[in-house]
Amino acid sequence: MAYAYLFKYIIIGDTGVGKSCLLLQFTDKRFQPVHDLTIGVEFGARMITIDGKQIKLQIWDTAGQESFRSITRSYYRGAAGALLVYDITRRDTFNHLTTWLEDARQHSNSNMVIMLIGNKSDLESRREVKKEEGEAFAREHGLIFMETSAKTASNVEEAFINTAKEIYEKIQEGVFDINNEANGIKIGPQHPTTNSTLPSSQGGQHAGGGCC
Amino acid sequence: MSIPSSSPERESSAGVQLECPSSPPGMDADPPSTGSPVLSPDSSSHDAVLSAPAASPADSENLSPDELELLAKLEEQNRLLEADSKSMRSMSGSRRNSGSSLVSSSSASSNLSHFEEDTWILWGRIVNEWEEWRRKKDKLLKELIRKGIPHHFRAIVWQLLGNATDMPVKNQYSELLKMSSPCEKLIRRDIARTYPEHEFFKGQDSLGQEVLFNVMKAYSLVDREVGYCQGSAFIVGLLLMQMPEEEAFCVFVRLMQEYRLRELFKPSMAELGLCIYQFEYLLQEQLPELNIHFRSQSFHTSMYASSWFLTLFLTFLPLPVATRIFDIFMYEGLEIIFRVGLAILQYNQTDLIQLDMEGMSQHFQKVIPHQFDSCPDKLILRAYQVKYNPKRMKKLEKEYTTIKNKEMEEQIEIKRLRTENRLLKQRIETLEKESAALADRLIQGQVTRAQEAEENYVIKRELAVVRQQCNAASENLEKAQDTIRELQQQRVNNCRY
Repeated sequence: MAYAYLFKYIIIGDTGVGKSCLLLQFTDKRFQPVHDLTIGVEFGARMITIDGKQIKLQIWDTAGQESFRSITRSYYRGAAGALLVYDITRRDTFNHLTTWLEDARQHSNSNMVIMLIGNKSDLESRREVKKEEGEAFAREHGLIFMETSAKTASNVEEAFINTAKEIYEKIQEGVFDINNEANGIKIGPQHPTTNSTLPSSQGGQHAGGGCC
Repeated sequence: MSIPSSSPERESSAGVQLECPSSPPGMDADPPSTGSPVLSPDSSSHDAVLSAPAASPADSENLSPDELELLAKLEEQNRLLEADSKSMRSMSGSRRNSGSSLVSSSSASSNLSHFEEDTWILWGRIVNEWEEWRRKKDKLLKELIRKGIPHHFRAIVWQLLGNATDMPVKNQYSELLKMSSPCEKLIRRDIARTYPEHEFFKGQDSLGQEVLFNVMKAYSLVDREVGYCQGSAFIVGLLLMQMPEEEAFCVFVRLMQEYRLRELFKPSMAELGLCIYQFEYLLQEQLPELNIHFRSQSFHTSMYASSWFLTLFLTFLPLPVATRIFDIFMYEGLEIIFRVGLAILQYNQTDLIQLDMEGMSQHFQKVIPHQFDSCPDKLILRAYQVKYNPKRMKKLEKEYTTIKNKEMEEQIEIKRLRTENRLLKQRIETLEKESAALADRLIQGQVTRAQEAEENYVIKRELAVVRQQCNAASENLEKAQDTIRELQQQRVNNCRY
């Protein structure tokens, strides 16, 4: 299917925070309570619409254990967006965010959009990390933030789509060099070939989208 | 099935008498004491005999008439099965739809049960005369393993192949279970995600999950450097489908120590990098077009091959097929993983070349895993057609180590340069500050000088004015004196008169 743009994403975060479940919920709209352990990397894709344009998301889901970093690091380069996931019921997964962020910043292109995700929001009774803490961390480090539940599908669409919106805006602003595929963005086959200066969007395109 | 205490050490000449199943199929021997389930459908005993090269003449000479006869039978079965699978394929018209059992519809089924019986007798003998087989008929043993170890012999044969029948560490096992491991939480989290669809491991309190946890925990305690690494539980899980936990633990310890697995699962996973490097070389050498296509699509080897090496195809292929590969792995080591991997790529080359990155990922996830469900022998046969040169692989290892060392040196150099850079930057900063201060003083000086010059100018002008006034005054004075002199002269003159 033709698309205007293709964005590459990477999903990172500690083991067991629900990375694969988020991906499955987004691509297949289903939840698998016991998901197979991810060894190395897994792949998923879906089409979304932003500003009336078809955008294809190609998503790399990575293994969370520390040992796998040497493999997963090579996927940062060439990603336009990253979903950094922690588990709101496990404080340690929140504490490790700084290391994840350092790793991501060091190995990705500087414009990569990072969305911080506090997953398992359905497990309110077991919550260990307050929503405000996630918000504060995101504010401090310039990330977008959202709490999701891969189980109930709450905010899952929004997490992936809002990240895409942010990338799309950056393209409009001319921040991303879309002709360099190493930035994780590809122009679709039917898109008129333009220089890196894009025609500015003709109104209508709402900044940020109306979510949370 | 129990292992006798007498060890099959190399020097033991008597050969080991092992208690092993000798009943024909259908009257199965007792499962291992943990009650491991039977792999089903297990293909090994059925289609164990697609064509594989016959034992070399040198081997045949060492064989007894019985064994020669059996070998001939194996070949005959081979032929029958091949013919049968061919007709099946032409009937169904699809290679992926050739049914689950070749046997049921086979005209050779009556022969097969005889054949199975023979296979059991043969494997019974192999296990009983293990040392002798290893010494004298190793090549034939290798061929037989490639054709698949019958399910009920796997536990003992894997232990024998791994030389894990008499390990001191086995005695520590129960003690280890009483200890606590720093990896426990992590292991616990992964247990349910290991073979979640498999009967034995299903359910939170299943026996499978419990013994899997035990073995992983015990291992994490004997090898603190590795501890627990994701992926390894699939290998242990497979062992547990065949044997009790103590035995599985021993085999796993051996696999980690002697089969490069420990290197694979070490925290840096450096060995995985090497395997990928070696695999890429084979790919480039033997499937150059596909390699170019992968590169043009940015389809990295690690995307599909990481799990092949880390879980020995156990998370990629259905268990009956992966178990056949594991049989061979137990005998020949990681080489079979390279061979099977390349065979899979070669088999799919024409399809893959027409697909983009996404298409290829889908093909790897959905199509390839089930291509060999009904014919693992075909995959194994293809694997042995792959060119694999151990010397070349060793050379590649050296190359890789050199590259990595160089990279590491460069990293160290970069780090050193970064520090130096940082220090120089600091120095520049202080110098810049100093320079700014000096410039400031310079300007201040210049300003003062300008002010002084102006003052000087004013003073000079004042001086000129004063001088002028002075000159004028002297002139006046002179005039006055002249006048005085004149007046005095007049007075003198007046007095004279």
